[in-house]
Amino acid sequence: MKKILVVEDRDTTMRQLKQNLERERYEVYTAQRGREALDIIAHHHVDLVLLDLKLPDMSGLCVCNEFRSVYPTLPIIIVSVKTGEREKVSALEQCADDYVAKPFYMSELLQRIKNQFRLAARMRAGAERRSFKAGPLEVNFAERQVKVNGEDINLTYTEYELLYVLVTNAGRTVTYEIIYSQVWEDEDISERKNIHVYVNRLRKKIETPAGCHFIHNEPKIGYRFQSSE
Amino acid sequence: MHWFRYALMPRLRHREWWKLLLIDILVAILFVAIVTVPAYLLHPRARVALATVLLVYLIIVLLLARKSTRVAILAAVLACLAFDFFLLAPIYSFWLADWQDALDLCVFLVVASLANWIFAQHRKLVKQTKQLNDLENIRFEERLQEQKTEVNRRDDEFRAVYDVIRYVTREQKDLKEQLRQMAQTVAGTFYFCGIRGCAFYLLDPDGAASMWTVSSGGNNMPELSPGDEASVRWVMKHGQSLTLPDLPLVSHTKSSYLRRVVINNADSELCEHKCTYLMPLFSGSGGQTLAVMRLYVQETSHVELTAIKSILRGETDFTGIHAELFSHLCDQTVFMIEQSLIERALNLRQELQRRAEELHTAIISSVSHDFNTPLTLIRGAASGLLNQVHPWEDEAAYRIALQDIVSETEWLERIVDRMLALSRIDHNALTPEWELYPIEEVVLLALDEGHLRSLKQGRRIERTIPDGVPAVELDPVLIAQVLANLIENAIRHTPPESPIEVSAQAAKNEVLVSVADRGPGIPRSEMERIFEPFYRIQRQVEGVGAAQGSGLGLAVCRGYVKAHGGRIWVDNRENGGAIFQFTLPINT
Repeated sequence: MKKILVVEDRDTTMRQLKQNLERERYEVYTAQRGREALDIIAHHHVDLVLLDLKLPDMSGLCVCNEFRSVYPTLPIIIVSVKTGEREKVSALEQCADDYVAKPFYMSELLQRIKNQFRLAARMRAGAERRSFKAGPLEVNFAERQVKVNGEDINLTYTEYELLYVLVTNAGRTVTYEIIYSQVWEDEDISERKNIHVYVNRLRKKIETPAGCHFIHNEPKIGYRFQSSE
Repeated sequence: MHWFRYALMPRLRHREWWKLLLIDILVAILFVAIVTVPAYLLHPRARVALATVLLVYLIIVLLLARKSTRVAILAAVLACLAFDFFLLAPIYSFWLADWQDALDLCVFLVVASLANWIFAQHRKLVKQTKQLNDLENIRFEERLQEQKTEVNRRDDEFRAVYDVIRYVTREQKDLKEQLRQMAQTVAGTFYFCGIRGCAFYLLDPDGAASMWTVSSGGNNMPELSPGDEASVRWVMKHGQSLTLPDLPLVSHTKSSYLRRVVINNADSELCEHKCTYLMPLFSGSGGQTLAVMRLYVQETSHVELTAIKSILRGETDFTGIHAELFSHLCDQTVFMIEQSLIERALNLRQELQRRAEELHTAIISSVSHDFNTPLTLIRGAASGLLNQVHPWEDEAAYRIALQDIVSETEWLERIVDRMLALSRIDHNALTPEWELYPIEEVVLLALDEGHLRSLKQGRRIERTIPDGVPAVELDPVLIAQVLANLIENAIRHTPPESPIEVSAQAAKNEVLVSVADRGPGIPRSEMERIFEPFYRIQRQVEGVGAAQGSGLGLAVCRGYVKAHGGRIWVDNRENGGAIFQFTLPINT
């Protein structure tokens, strides 16, 4: 049974989360304060953390960093209110794997949790993946080849790199900073502002023939590749 | 006799002087003959005393001397000769027998000459007096005429001032009408010294780019050309007078542009015929240029015009009652404009206050309604669930109650979001974070929005965004919200089977985005008001259930689009339905 730590200071939200997670057959630890959460982490094995950024005793970001320093591969999902995007972005950049905005749909949160576990499973498999498949989309990393419905798609260098970053982090929100650093490295900073234009082109090339919505935009935060499976 | 001479005079005066002399001689001969013939006939028988005859001659000479010196002298000499020839012995000879007779004749001549001289002096005096009198009369009449016109003018001016006071203090104040009357008054009152037309130009008090133009009307004054309008704006900006000679526009064939010679104040003497004077009217406190007065003047050397022109040049030391009146009318104009502006500001303030109060009331009633309705529903559904002993017994009702709770909370969430957005807009706390975005991405973002995802189920949403539409600097969250609100409105207010079209196209310096539906459209009278916060169109659309919106969505849209420097408006489509459009400027 997977173990999930929920760090949340409000009783009602906590109860809701606990109920729903337990129904999905997860074991749930709860903590209402940062200190408490760090205690639990120190003494128990945890597979995933749901973390509110607003905690009464310390900042969620600090807690997040502490977790990461102890468990470098521990999936952490931020569950926080809509405002405070900056905090969310910095959390995503520094330590978190995903975020869900409050008020959230329980079904969405559960899906995100599943995604994280799948990702973690892949990471654990460890093998350098040679290809990626999501519905009609196939990406062959060794040959830099992209196919939709079995047909070759011509991508430019930037478009491929963009797709690569998103696909290798499928299910996660990849912040702009990460995309910039991986796609453009430090070469052409002026090109960075065209990220949405490149995404749009990439989307037209792979989404239109596939008829699926793969690339999700989290405005002001980043992009997320989500296969509809 | 003098009528005879004076009748002939004009003709004879210059070339035929000898005819005049001949006439004088004949007259002298005639008069002398009238005395001489009876004396000659009577002399031998009646023994008329020769002295008597001489006296009669003298009378004749004196009579003639009254009229003309020359005739009198001629008559005197002729009388002497005739007396000597016909009456003095020896008869029929000019020889004088007696020295006494010679003395008599000499005395006669001397007396006649003396009398003649006296008469001549007298005549001269009379003539001079007459001339003087005539001159006096003419002068007097002229003065009388002048006084009459002056009185008339004063009368006109008095009436003008009275008119001005009447329309300045009138209850119903329409600045344009007041200025029009003022322009007419100025043009009418100073017509006598060459002012042919008057107009006022002022910046639109409502803030529009166009200027207010109020003219005295009539055909005297030509329309203002675009170039002149630029001059008016120059005067408005710099607060200095300008003189524009009424020269025709000179077309420059080589470079094919129009130009006009503009001569500044210093050279205004160059204007020979008609000139346009532009004078700034300063506010009472000085400094600010309230309006520009345009005078169309026919150049005359009238002293009053000179004084008025010195006022136009902004000089303060002028003389003349009319110039004073002119200056007074200018002051009145300034007063009128200032009064109107103050009133406008007051009205605006009152209007703003009234609207703020209205809005406040609307907000309170709307907020209480918007929050209470979903809260009541949620409480009802939740307490209903709480009362169910075995929820699984009536699963359908159980699910419906839960769905109600979920949809009502979604609704509440949106209202809270919009209210927060609106308060940010109202407090200018909205700071868009600009990113270069293709419109298509923003549309996707909007359609991907949580509640729209469920709301759009089963609706046909057509997207037409051509490849040529450029990416725009925008805040994706804000513009996606605008689109989501518009699409949500379209979904809510139109029948479920009708399509919704989202499109974008590139215009000159902007991108035009539109959301069109095939619903009932928007009544023309409501097209402006629907963008006001808490305003809802009062109607029930057939086939559409909960058509009520929060009354905030469009207000938020307007706030967001404005924050991007764009415009938003609504129109009705040709074959039914509404089309909401907004623009986003392209930053180059």
